[in-house]
Amino acid sequence: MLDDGQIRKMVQELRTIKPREDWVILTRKQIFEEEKKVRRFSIIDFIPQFNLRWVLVPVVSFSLIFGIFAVARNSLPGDFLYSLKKAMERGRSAFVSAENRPTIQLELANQRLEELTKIAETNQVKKLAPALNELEMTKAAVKTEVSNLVKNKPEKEAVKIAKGIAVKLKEVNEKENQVLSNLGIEPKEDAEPAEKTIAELLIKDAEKSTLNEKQAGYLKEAKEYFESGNYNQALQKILLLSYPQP
Amino acid sequence: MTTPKEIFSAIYDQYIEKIYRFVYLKVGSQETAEDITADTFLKGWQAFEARYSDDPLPGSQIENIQAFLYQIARNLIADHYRQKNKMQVISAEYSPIIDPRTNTEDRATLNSDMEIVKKAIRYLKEDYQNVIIWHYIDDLPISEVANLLDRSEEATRVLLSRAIKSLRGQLHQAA
Repeated sequence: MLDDGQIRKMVQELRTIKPREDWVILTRKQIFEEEKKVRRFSIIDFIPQFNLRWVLVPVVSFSLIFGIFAVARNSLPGDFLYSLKKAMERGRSAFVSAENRPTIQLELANQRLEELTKIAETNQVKKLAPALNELEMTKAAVKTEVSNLVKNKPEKEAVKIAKGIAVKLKEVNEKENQVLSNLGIEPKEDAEPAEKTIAELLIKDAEKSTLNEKQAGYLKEAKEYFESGNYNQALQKILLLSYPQP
Repeated sequence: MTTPKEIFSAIYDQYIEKIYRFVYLKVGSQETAEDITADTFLKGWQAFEARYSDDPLPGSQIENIQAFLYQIARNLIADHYRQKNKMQVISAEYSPIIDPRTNTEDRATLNSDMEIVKKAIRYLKEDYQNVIIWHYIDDLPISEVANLLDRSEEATRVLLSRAIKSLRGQLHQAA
């Protein structure tokens, strides 16, 4: 019975199988000859060979590129130019400071919800799955940025930034619930959503502050909602402390 | 500046032997292998040129040209069998094998052993053929083979082990 080593050796002998040399040369020639036959004509072929070509080519190219970017901005998940849209968003986010990153991600989450709304309105069913996927990825990014904020910033600074993003976070959550509800989709359960981190931080900060009776009431309700896992409501109550109603 | 044609020409030189051998070991006929290999590179060139044209979009380039060419070849082989409605083609055609040995007796023995191994490989299922050809003949590391098969490295190692076992069975039957 042949052992593995013997079989390997036998198989490796097959490395000597090679194509005919003349066939290799002929095939290469044929491949590129074939390509010449089906070469597409471009508008540049019709431009006379004056210096005018060197003016028109960049102008036409620039207009085309500009047009492509404009179309990309309106593209939806699953569209051909969507990856370009995402690249443009990444480019814009690249130079944002750490404290502004949660806000940027929340704006992107809002953008993803706009896309879902448009998909629903125009009944583009095939784009629904990729759009939901994009929303999940953006929400994960929000969560990461909020978590980094709490971990890396001193508490006082983190609280200040958290107060700034809490309102936006609440709005995005409310919009998400509405959009998903319209689509008949249950929001995915998340044990550690961004609103939990923010609510926890703001509750902790409020506990150290001197509060009037009304504010103390809001804080108590916020803590009750928090303990029951209703982080959105907890956030809503705690925002009443930071942004008192008239 | 290097043109797409020059780049693809280098790719052609790098992979023509491997792709030809891959196809030949599966179809068993020199003429068929030449046709399919030529088609593979023609399609490969057309796709390559389209993606590397004047203004390539981000993410449109071919990330792994080797995997791309093998995939085209696999598809064409499948088309070939579908059209011919054959599962296995045992070619009676003599395929000259370039061999440095000059001793006639040795060459005869070698050719005979090689014919047995070639036939045995053709009787294996596709995944087993692929993993044996890529790892043992083309000398690709497991990581690259895994990539070509779209499997994990662990799964590829298991597959390789089973492929060798299956090949041993085929060789034993042939003997």
